[in-house]
Formats: sequence, C-alpha cells, structure tokens
Amino acid sequence: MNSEDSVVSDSSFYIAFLSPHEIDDPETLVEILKKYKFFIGRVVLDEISQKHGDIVDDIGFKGIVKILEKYDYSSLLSIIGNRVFEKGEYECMAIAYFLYRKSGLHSLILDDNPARKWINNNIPELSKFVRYSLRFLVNCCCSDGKLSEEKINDILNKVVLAIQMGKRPFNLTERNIYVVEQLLTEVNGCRN
Amino acid sequence: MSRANYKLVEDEREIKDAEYLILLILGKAGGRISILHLQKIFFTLWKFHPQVRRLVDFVPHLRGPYSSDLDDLIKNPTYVVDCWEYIPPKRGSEAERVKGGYLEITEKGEEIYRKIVDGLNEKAKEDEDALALISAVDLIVSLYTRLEWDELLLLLYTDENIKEYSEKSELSREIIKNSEKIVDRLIKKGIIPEEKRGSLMKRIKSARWIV
Repeated sequence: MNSEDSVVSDSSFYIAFLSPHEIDDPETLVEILKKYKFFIGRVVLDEISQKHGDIVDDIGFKGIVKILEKYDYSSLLSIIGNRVFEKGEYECMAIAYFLYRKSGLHSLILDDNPARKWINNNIPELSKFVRYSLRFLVNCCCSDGKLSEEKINDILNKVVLAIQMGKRPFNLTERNIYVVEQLLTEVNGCRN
Repeated sequence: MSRANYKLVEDEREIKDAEYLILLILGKAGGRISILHLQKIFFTLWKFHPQVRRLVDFVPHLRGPYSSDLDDLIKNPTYVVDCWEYIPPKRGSEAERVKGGYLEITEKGEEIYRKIVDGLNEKAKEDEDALALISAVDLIVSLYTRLEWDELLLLLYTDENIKEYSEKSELSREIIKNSEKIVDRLIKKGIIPEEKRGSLMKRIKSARWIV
C-alpha cells in the first residue's frame, strides 16, 4: 500500500455491504478496507453506526479505517451543502480535498449525480478522482488487482438481485441494471 | 518564565497568527476582499480548525456570526503592519454598507503572503495542522469569494448547523424575501445544482430561526 491509496466514501458504499437485503457481505468489505487506506469523518461514521452499529463493532470497522476527528470537515462546505446534499457527502468532499492536497487521493466514491456535478463545477481538481461505487469496485479488480474476478462478480450479482428485490444499493434502481450487466462483462477476463 | 509572562507571550502569538491568517485569506482572494466575506471565511475556518478557534471569538450579530476581535485586528493590526489597507464602505449603497468596506493588499503584503504560503506548504509536508489549514483556505476562499454578499448571507442564514449565529440578523427578512432571485443566481453560477433548487427552497422556507 502506498500514499496514493487513500479512499474517501460517503456512507452508502459501506451501508450497502452491511445491509442484509443489499450486498450483505461484511467480510468482503473488510477485505477491501484493508487493501486501501479508507478515511472517514465523524458524520459518515455516525451514519453507518446508527444503521449497523452491531456489525460495525463485530468486524472491528473502527480499527481498519482511519477516523478523522480532529477537524470538523463537514463545517467547510456546510453553508452550501446543508439540506442540499447529505451531510456525509459534503464532509467527504472536504476530506477528499485535504487528501488531494496531501497528494494521496486514490478515489472519492460518490453515487449522487448532483453531488458529482457540483464537484465538477466547484472543485474541478477532484473530478478525476470521483468514482461511482461500482466503478471503484470494478477498478479494484481490473485496474488495481486487489480483488478477484470471482469476488467482484459475486458483488455485482448481489447488487442486481437486491435491485430486483426493490432495494437501492448504491442508489441504483431497475433502470441501472443494464449498467451492472455491462460491468459484469467488463470484469470477465479483464485480468487476462 | 512566570505564568503571567507565559500568558502574554501566548496572547501575542495568537494575535500574530490571526493577523497572518487574515493576510493568507486576503492573498488567496486575489488581494481584495470585503470585510463581510473575510469575517465569514474566518468563521468557517474557526469552526473547522481547533487552532483557529483559539485565536478569536465569534458571537451572533446583525449579519450572522461576527468577531469584534477580528474586526479590531483587521483595522488595527499590531504585528502584520502595512500589509493591507482598509477601505471604508462608500456612503449611499446598502450593499456597500453590508459589505463593511474592503481590505486591499499592499506590495509588502503580497511579498509576505507569498512567504506565508511557501512556509505553510513546506510545513504541511510534516505537520497535519498546517496541511489542514492551507487546504481549508484553498478550498473555501475561492468558493466563498464567488458569492455576492446577498448570496453569501442567504446560504449562511439558512444553514441549520450554525443557526444560533443567525438569530439576531437584521437583514434576514429582506434576504429571504429576495430568495428566489438569489437562488437563480446561485444555480446560474453552478454553486447550487439545478436539481437541488427544490431542496434549497425548502431549506430556506424551513429556516424558522430567522423569520
């Protein structure tokens, strides 16, 4: 792992892995967290803990990620972000900027399209680091070689299943199933 | 060193740091900034960074969060002298009155500003506090200075995370009355995505602490 492996994500990425009716695979989440340096602010940590406090404790989540508590990152973009974006989203943007300045940002995982558009307009330096959750996961396998094809295929298939059951992992709906199918094709054989 | 002397040295250091931070914000803003913008940017850094929090105090005031300590340092700097000029507001314009005048950087100020940036960037390689501060200044100064005075106040007054600082604001009703036009401008500038117009209007309507 090097200094450019720093990843920031809003809570939806973690929650999808921990939710029983979505991906429901805390072990794979732990595996991913250990292969990068995940940075997390107080707001996102609280959002995950409120939803899945027990599992968070069971998997030792707080010991695997780097919790940033010294500075109130959410306050930096609060006047714009309050009730316009999720609090965890604008906290992540500020943390990502800090890591970018530190020359260590690998990815900022954000699934909300208006939030992504906002970054393009207002913090263009971060644009090239912004990834959808699924793109990040596919890149874990195809670009970074940190997860096996089998693991990613398994995750993508669970995502399709969750959507078909009416859930919205990573903010995805029925309309997005074709994207997941395209990603399944991309993953198959990408390491050859 | 006696406790009294230590306190004196500490106080002097804090004043100096606050004045350097004013210069850092001013320089980053391109050498000219309204007092209103400077106060609000300083306030945001004050909320963000524990070391900035030690430098001055902020209280709820007529235009949202305000620091009289900061106002004093802006107009009568003790250590960072001749680095900026305070331009009082022109008479007759409401907008100019609200903005409270401007700071303009001097030649000496530009020189010292460049040294502060170089010094902080160097320090930031080892020191997390320095990195956090310079990153935060870079992030918010360019963002906040794109906002007109009424855009800045609308966003500030309706942010529920700092509502306790906006309850005494004298301009809040007027700003809220013009909110649709202000929101149009914010969308045009890309500060608020078009898809989020409804969320912002809802936020404005539910900001009961100012109406």
